[in-house]
Amino acid sequence: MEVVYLSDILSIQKIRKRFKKNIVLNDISFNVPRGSIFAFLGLNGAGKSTLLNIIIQLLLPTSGKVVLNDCPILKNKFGVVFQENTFDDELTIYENMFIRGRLYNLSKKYLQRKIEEISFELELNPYLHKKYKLCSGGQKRLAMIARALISEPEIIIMDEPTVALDVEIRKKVWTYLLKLNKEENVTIFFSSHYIEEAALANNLSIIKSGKIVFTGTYKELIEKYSKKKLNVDLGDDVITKEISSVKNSLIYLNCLDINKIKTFSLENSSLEEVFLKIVHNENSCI
Amino acid sequence: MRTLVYRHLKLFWKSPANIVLSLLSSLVILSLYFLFIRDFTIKAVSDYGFISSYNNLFVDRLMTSGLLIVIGATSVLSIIFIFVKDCSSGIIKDFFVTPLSYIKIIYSYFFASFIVSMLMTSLVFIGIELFFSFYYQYYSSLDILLQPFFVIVLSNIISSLLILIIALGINNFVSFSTFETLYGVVIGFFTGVYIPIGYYPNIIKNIFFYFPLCQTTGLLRRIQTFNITEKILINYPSNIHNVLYKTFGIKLAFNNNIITGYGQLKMIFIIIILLNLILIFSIYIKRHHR
Repeated sequence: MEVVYLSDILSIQKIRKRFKKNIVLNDISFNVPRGSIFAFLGLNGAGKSTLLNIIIQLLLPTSGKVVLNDCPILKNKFGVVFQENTFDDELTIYENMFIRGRLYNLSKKYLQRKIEEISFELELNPYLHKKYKLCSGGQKRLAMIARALISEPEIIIMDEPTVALDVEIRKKVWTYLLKLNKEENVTIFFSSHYIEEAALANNLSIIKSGKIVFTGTYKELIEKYSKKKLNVDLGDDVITKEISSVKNSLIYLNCLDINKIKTFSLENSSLEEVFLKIVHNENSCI
Repeated sequence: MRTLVYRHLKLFWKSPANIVLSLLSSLVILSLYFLFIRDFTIKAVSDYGFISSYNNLFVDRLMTSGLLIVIGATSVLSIIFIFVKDCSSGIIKDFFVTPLSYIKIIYSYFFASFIVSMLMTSLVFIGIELFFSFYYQYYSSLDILLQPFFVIVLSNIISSLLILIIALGINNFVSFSTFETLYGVVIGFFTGVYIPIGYYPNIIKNIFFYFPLCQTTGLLRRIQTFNITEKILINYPSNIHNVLYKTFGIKLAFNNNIITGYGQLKMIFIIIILLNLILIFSIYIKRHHR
């Protein structure tokens, strides 16, 4: 039996999803700590969206369960940002947000205040009364994030939230989400195939072909999979070698002709390299 | 759920094409009747030997009753189209993640389509009654008008439920557009608007008997022509009264056994209950096979 710690807001317990004969998710289990930023990573088609849809109850698991706050999931406890835009083109951002907010039984007065508050934070005010179809891609995405926050959720679940956004908008989105996480202890759970976004997370899981191949903190990921790379410039030649520790790199340097070494550097392998290593290594299951 | 109904209606009103096309389709159906079907049906009545000064009034009353049902049936399509669009674009997911239940979300489309169809049919109904009072000096009191209005309400409930069930099964933008075109064409035949129901072979008549809107059309015709048929048939022996009733779909028959007005009303209520059960079952199936 899975143990749910009080500090965990979300617990995924042995989730299995089968579409006809195709097993899309195979015994997925992990816990999302309260107040954390949790990245759920995987290549396209790995099963990220399927699991997200199970968490938000759009799909039913074949077996296993999802527990929120130690109870069955309550829909008003989470906010969702879908990969696609789910607002009505013919309505304004304000109308779209207002209608969705009313579905959470929020009063008109509260909603008016809340929409203005969130729009101010996300700098959406100038576009609030603009038809959704006339907004830019970035404005549309910001509006979707604003919609997820309207019911003051304890956890925000986002499926590729910044896909197709330019760097500036992506930065704006994350600045606001990080602020929300820090100041209001809102848990942020997101899926992404932008590995650099994982650096923002303090916990992460990596899925490969429906199986979890890594769950842990960012630090644990780096410690476990990151190799050090030693670059030595010998003038007429450059040597690049994977080294397991600083001590070993010094031993290696001692073996070389010290007079020939012009410069040397020691660097960790990039997050992208770590990610690719995990998802392409068949035996990396943990 | 009220919010969602409001949203669907708002989207309907936001699209001028929706309103124009709905009104236009009502006008087209009425024009087609007056241009092509009216004279043919008037002639058909006299061909059956019913000669009376009330023939034109009878046929106009008969055919406009059928047209009201067809207009109601086609005007629900615009809102159900929004449902299909919401499903295929993923917008509906945004409603599914709110605390609102699946059943309420789906029924919100039913209520919105019912409201739109009531609006359209009420407008046409008022127009038709005005036409009869000006052209024929045929007036109906308010309490008499309530009866056909009640049948129109029942008919629009059936239309909305029926199309919503079909849309749940189709769930695809392109297929639903094709279905809309087909439905617009066949509905006139199913209700006996284009060709009097008595002209069909017995087997077809028996099949159409079970088509829900055929019952509402029959009942509406029975109410709308009640005073007029009495005047037309005054000099005819009672054994041939049923020829007029059955041929022109005023009284529906299954295997030549005429169903009473009360029986028709009972059947309509059973159909409404059945359609609701089918809709709830379809939602349940969808919900548990996610």
